[in-house]
Amino acid sequence: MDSRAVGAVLPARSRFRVNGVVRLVFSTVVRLLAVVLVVALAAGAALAQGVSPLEMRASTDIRESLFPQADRYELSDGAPPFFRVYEGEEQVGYVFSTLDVVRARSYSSIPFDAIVGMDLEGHLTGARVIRHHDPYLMGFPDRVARLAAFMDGHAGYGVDATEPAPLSPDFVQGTTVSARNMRAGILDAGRTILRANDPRPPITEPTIDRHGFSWLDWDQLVEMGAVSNRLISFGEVREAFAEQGVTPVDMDVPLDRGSADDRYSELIVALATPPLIGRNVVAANAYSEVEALPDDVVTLAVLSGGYYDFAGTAFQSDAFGHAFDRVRLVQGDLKITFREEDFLRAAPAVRQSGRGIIRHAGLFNIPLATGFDPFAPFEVVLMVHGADAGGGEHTVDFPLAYQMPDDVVLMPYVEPLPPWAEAWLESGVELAILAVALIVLTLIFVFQAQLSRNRRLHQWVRTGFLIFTLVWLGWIAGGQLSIVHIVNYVKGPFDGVDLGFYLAEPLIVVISVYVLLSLILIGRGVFCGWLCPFGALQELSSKLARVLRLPVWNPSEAMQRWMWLPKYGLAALIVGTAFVAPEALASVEEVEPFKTAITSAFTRPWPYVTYALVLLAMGLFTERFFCRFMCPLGGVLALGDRLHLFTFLKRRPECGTGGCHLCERSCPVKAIERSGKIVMAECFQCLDCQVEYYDDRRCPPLAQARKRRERAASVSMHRPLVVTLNGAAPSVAK
Amino acid sequence: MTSHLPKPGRGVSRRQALKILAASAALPVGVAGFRLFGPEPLFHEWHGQALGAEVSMRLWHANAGHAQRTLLRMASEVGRLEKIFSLYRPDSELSRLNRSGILVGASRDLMVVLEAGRALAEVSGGAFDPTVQPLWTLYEDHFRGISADPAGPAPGAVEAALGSVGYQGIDLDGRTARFVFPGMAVTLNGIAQGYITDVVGDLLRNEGFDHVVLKLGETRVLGTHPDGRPWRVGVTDAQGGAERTIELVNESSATSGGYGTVFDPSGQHHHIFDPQTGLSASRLVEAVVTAPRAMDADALATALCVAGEERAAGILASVPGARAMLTRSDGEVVRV
Repeated sequence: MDSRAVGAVLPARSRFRVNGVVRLVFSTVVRLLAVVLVVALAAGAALAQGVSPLEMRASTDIRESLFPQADRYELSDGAPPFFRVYEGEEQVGYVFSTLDVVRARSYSSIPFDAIVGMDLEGHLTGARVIRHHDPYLMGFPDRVARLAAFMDGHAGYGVDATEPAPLSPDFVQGTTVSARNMRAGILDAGRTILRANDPRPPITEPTIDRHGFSWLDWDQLVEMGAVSNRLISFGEVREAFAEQGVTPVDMDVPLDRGSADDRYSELIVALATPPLIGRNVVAANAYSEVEALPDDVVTLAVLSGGYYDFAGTAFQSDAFGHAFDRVRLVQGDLKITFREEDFLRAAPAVRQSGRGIIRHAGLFNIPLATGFDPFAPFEVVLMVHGADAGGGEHTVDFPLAYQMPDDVVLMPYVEPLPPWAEAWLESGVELAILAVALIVLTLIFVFQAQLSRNRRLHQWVRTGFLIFTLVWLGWIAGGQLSIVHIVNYVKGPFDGVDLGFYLAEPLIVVISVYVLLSLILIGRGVFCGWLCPFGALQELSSKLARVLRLPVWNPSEAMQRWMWLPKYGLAALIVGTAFVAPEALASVEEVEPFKTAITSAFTRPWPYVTYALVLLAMGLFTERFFCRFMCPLGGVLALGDRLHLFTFLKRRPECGTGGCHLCERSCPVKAIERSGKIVMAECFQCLDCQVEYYDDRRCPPLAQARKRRERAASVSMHRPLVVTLNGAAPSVAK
Repeated sequence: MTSHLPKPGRGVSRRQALKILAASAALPVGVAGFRLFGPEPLFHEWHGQALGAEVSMRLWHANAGHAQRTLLRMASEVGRLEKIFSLYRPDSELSRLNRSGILVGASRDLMVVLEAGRALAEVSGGAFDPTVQPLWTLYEDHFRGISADPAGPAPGAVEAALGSVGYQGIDLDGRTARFVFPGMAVTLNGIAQGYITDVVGDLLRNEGFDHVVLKLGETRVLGTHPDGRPWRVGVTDAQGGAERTIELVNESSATSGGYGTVFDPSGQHHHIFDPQTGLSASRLVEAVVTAPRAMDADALATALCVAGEERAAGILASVPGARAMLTRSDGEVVRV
């Protein structure tokens, strides 16, 4: 029944007039290309295999099992060879071999061969695997039987279907790969045969599907959004006129014909051009007219029930210019009035189950030249006219919105994104948050002088940023940079780089680039002091320890010089292991507690957790113990720190050798030597020393200057000015 | 610098000592609370196809985003390695090597696997040999014929094919791999899968994943099940069922048996060749080997199938931590 309908479509389509020549040339070219491709494939297959002709492999028995009703089979001329299957004079399907068409492989490297039956719509009627070399099938008759049952289970499944196939490859226990690949090969071959017999131009933009069809009832059409309907009661019409302050006395369907709840009219609208909608809404003879139309005309189906029909009689009259006065189409600023020459009366094909009868149906052709966009929403307005007692004409509008459903729109094929691009798209929110954080951090360093002048503000900003780094960047987003990444970056060029491997971690990529830039510009401290979640965890826990007044222990300067070294050794050990003994790398990398404390949020087995705890406990008494003495990532960055271009941290001549050791004492990680020099490789850029630098109550040179100023000010205000010889304030002034 | 330290000589006061103890004890309590109420390790998995087989990675991790991104990265790593080792792709490094007998500028991965293949052949006394591909081709061509002799290829043909077999003919120099004997070809079937499994396993272990089951052609597990019990992994048997399971912790398993790929309906001729005789090995029905690394496990399983029970202990000793479960032809199972 389906196939008969489609058979009728083909001659109908050949009747197109407008751009028929162009399409004919185009379809011929596509057809030729398809044939050339298929010939090449088949020739290759034949050369390599020396296969016997299709009529021998697709034996009469097999053909009959695929099409029991068939009367004759006609072998196609040209390649690939396939049979056209006929019942009487009507073609009902195809029989072909996967080996001839796509030469698909299943588990073995030698292609299998399946003889496949398919109807004209692309639904499989069956498939018989006649030859295969699959190791997991050979010698297993039960599996072969199950594979045959699997193939039979796909009868009726469309080669173009988007819904899941009826059986999972698991059905063929032990050889799921074979089953999966064979099915894929069969569907692929089916599609090729279908296209070769009906070449459709490739889709480059959203296009109305003028081929896809299946039977749908009213409920399915409503659910899909293929039809819109609006019920208009007598009461509504009365109310609409009342709103205009009109009491109509002269109407085509007077308002006293029914009670308030009765159906005055029911308007139903559908875009009939896609057969999936059109053929289900209006009767076949009317729809064949729609199919004969050129591509630049779409057809709207309007149906109505109740007393007041959508057509009226005006369109038949010269007085109205053959225009319809009861319906019009509105899309934005575009208003379309329908005329008789665009109209075709049709019999409705759709029934509303258990509801009012649809009496009238008609098709309106809308040339796209009018500016109508079938993909955009539009409204069809039902107009009810009435004249008041004084003969004044009045109209009330009942609009009905419609939007063509996605199911009948073919979208151009979009190449799927590589996995890493997916990761970037999915991380949009995280990347935005990180971008804001990095901008804030950059501003902190740009305006570090202003920030350091305000001790309170610095403390809040720093603690706030560290909490963000630990909780969001570390625990929530999983953005802990680690020596593992460094090893991967270093090894990449030697191992044969697959960029996707690195790019699949958007946060780490962004952080790595930022850290590299900041390392070159300022030093390692930007990462270690601000962006390392484990560093933040240590610093925040030690802040608590300071609140609890726990004792602090720091090594002497000489001892500390030695204690700084192990982190370089560990970094060298890890990078070396990566090259020399990659299988031991994981164990060596466990020196870094980041994955335990941050990425896995302490959910790892107890030995790892205990190690991380010991390090954190040491950090309570010795600020950032792990960072300063053990961290291999810190070691690598500290090495790179030698490159940094700028030092923003300000010093005074009085610092260190000048006799003042305030900053040296306040430096939490003891990166300032007794000489007053800041060891940049050990500096975490916490800016504590800069806060001291700008504090005129603590930094001795500043404090002296301030006192002098204040004294001068108080002297000038309260006491007579006493000028001494050397300019100093006289001691008696106290 | 030492201003916060208690003055030497006075010792730490009792108050101070209690504070230090309490603070140190608070940390583990905090972490225990974190483990109880914080994020839990959740199950994530990835499915795909590689080297002509269905492959999967399953892991448990507390950070879902990190787990998903890591799986994507591992998938792209598997894709990279497949371009090197696939025999289905004519442009893969292995296909090119087999075709022309020499490959200049081979990837490190290919060199590592060839090197390992040669070394494993050496320690197994040639029982495992990656160069049996000519035998495979001979048998496959023979049994593809319509009226193939069920006894197998003619002895002369087997003899000729054996002339191209021998791991000693793999010549590796820097990034150049070369076959010394004419007509040589390697099948890295198994050990290449094992290598991919090991590479991904190592990467995941580096990233701190403790609960992982990889099935990338070979099976390898990291750690235990999150509940603390060993992983229970199904072992496919001759009938294709997977009712038998073995328990694994931090190791790999590989199964080798003549039933895997058979050339004839009787099953007498199959893909595990004895490089000495050129015939299909028949000493054992099956060998299941567990070893720390998947590549070793696969090579050992093949080697044991060929070498038989008597030499099993000696061959196993070459890989520390390797164990085996052998099925004799009468169905009896022995553990080595």
